[in-house]
Amino acid sequence: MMLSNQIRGSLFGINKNCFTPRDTLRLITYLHSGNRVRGIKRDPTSYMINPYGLTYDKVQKEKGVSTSEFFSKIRNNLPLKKFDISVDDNLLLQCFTHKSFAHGKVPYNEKLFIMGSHFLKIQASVYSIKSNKAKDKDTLINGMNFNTLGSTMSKQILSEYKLAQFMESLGLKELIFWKKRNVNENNDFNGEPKIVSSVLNSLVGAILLTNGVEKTSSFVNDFLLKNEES
Amino acid sequence: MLKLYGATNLMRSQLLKFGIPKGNVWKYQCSIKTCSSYYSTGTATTPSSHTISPIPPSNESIKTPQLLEYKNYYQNLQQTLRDLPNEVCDQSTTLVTLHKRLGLPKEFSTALLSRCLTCRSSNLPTTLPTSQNTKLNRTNYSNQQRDNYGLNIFGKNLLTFQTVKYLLDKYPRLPTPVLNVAVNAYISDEVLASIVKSWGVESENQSVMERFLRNEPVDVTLGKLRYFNNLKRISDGIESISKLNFSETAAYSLVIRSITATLWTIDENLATKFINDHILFGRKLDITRLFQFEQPTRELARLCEREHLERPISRLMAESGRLSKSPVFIVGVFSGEEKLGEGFGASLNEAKAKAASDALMKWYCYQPTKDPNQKTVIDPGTIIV
Amino acid sequence: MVVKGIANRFSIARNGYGDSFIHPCKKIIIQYCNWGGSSQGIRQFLTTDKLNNIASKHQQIEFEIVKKSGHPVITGWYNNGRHKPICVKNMEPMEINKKLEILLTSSGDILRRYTKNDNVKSLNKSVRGIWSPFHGNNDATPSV
Repeated sequence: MMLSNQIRGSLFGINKNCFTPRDTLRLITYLHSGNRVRGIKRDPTSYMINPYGLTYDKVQKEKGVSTSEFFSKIRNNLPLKKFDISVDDNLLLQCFTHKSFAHGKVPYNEKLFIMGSHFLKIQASVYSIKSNKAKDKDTLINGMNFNTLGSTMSKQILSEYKLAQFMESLGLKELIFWKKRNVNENNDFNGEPKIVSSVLNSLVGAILLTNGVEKTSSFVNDFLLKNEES
Repeated sequence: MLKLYGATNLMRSQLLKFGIPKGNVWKYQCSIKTCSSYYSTGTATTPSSHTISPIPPSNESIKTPQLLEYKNYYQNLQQTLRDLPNEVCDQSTTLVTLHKRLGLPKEFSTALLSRCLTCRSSNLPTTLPTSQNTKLNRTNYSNQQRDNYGLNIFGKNLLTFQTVKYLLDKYPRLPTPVLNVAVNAYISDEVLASIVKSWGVESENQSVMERFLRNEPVDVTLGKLRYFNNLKRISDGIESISKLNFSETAAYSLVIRSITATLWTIDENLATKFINDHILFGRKLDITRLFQFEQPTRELARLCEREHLERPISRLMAESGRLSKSPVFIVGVFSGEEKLGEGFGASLNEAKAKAASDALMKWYCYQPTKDPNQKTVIDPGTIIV
Repeated sequence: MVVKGIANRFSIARNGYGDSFIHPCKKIIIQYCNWGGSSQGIRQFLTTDKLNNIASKHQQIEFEIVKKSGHPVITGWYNNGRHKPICVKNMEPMEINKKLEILLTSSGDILRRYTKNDNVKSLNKSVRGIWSPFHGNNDATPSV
C-alpha cells in the first residue's frame, strides 16, 4: 500500500489570513491508493487513467504541443482540416472525456453530446427523406418522402452501434477517457459502444458550437454519412 | 371566408342582386336539402332518433336507397381523404381560415395543411363493416397514405434541436436534468397540444353516420383534426387500443410538429421562425423555477474546488430578532474576497443553504453577452458530488 | 448529481409576443329569420356590402350565415373554446355593425371587473425588486 502526504492548503489555495483552528486541523490529507476504503481520499494517479492505460495528466501536459501523440492522432484520423474546421486542444480533450471519468472533476462531454446527437438526428432524417424516393410520387412533399421516416432502415442510419464501429475503425477508441462500471466485466458490459458513439456525437456538437451550422453539416454529410454508405 | 347555409332562394337572389362578388371571400353552399339549419361548430345536436350504430350492410341485394346514399357518402369521404385534392381543400372554410390565422406562406397549400391534420390512426377501413364481419371494422395502417406520420417524426427532431440549441445558447451551463425539464416545458405533448388548441383547431368527434345524417359537406371535416377512425362515436365507449392510436393530447401535438416539418420543406428559415414565434419567444419560462438543490453547500464547495476558486465560506451579514419567534438572518457566501451569493432565512442553516443555492443558481444560469466577439462558452459539465 | 429538475412546470403562452398574433375569434355565425319583423335590420345588413368588407378584412375568421326562425342572433366562437351570442332583434344595421365589432375584438374570456389598483398583470418579476431593511446605505438600516 502506497502512502503519500500532501498539503491541502496548497491544493486549494486557502487564504492564510482566514485560517480557523478547524482549517489548520484539516491541512494534512492522506491520499490512499490501492484498494478502495470508504471515507479515504484516493490518490489522483490511481484514477486519472483510462481503461487502455492512457494517463490524463500526460495528455493535459501535451496540450498545444505539435508533437503530441494524442492530439495528432485525432487530427490525422478526422478530416477537420479538409472541412476548414478548427477545434482547440482543450475542446478536443473535453470531447474525448466521458462523464464517468474522474468523477466529473475534469471537463466532460455530456452537454456537447446532447447538442451533437440532436443535430445528427436531423441530418440523418434529412438524408433519409431526400434519398428514398417513393413509388407513389403523389405522397411526396416538395419532392421529399416523409413516409420513409420511422422505418427500421432510417432509424439505423447513424445508430449508436454503427458510430461506435466507425470510431473503432478510425482507431480512436483507445483515446477515450472513461471509467468502467465494473472492472471485472468486459467492455461491452460496461457500455463501451455507447461511450464511443457519444464521443463522435459530442465532436459534432463541439464543431457546431464553435464552427457554425454550415461547416458541421458538410462534415456530417460528406464525412460521416458518406462512410455510412460504403 | 363566408358561407351561407340554408339561405332560401329569395335571400340568395337578393344577395346576388346586391352585387356580392364571387371569389375567395364569398362562397355559397346551397346543398342543404332539409329545412333544419346546419351548424358545424360545437353545439351541433343530432336528433336522438339517429343513435343507430353506423353499420351499413355491403350486401347489394338489400335495395335501401338511404343506405346506398350512405355508402356513396362514405366512399366519397374516403376518396377525398386519400387524395386530398386541392380544389376540395380550398373549399373548406375551416382550413382556409386556419391557414390565414397562422399566416402560412402560399407554397403551403391547404391540402398540405389538411395532411398535417390527418393522423395515421384515422384511416377509414376500405371495406364497409357488416354485422357478420365486424373484424373488418379496422383502421388500415398503410404507408402510402397522405398522413402526418413521417412529418411528425421529422418535426419532433426539428423542435427538439431548436429548443435545445435555444436553451444552451442562452444558458450554456444549464445542468442536464434541468435542461431536460426545460425542453419538456417548451415542447412536451401537453404544451404543444395547448398551442394547437389556441389556434382554434377542433378535433373531428362526429361519426361518419352522424355527418351523413346532417348532410354535412365533405370539406368540413378536412379542417378538423382526425385522429381515430370515425366509424363509431367516442360516446359508444369503444376504443381500439393500438400502438398507432393516440390520446387526444398526443394527436394535437402531432399537428404543430407536422406543420413545422412541412414549413421546413419550403424553407428552413421559415420553420425556425415558426418555432421561435410560437414556442420559444412566444412563451415564457422562468428557468430558475426548475431547479431543485439537494445539498447546495456541498455542491458549491465542489464547484469551487473544480474551478480552482477559494473554498466557500458562509458569513452572517445581518440579523434581526435572534431570540424572538421570527428571527431573520442574512448570510452571504464568500470565496476569498468575492461574494458568490446571498440568502435569508429564519435560521442560520436555512440562510446558509439559500445563500449557497443562490450562488449555484448564478453559476448555472449564467448568460453570455450578445457581443459577437465573446468566445463561445463551453460548459465543463454539471457538478457531481 | 445533486441538482435536480422539477418536472411538470410548463412554459406560459404569451399570444403575440413572438412575431405571430393569433386572433382569438375564429368563427362568427349570423342567424337571421327570413320572415320575422325582428330580423328586418339584419336582413338589411346582410344585403349591403358591410359584411363583405368585414369578411375580406378578417380573412382568418370563418363567417357562417344561417337561416332559422326566431329572433336574429350573432354568435362569436373563440379559440379558448367559449362562445358569445348576442341577440340583435329589432336592431338597425348600424347597431348590428357595432355588436359585430364587439364580437370581433373580444378575446372570448369572461368579462371580469378588476378591482382598483389591480391594473397591472405581469408574468415578470418586479424590476425594482422587493424592498429590504437590511440592504442599502439608508440610516434606518439595522447595522450589520
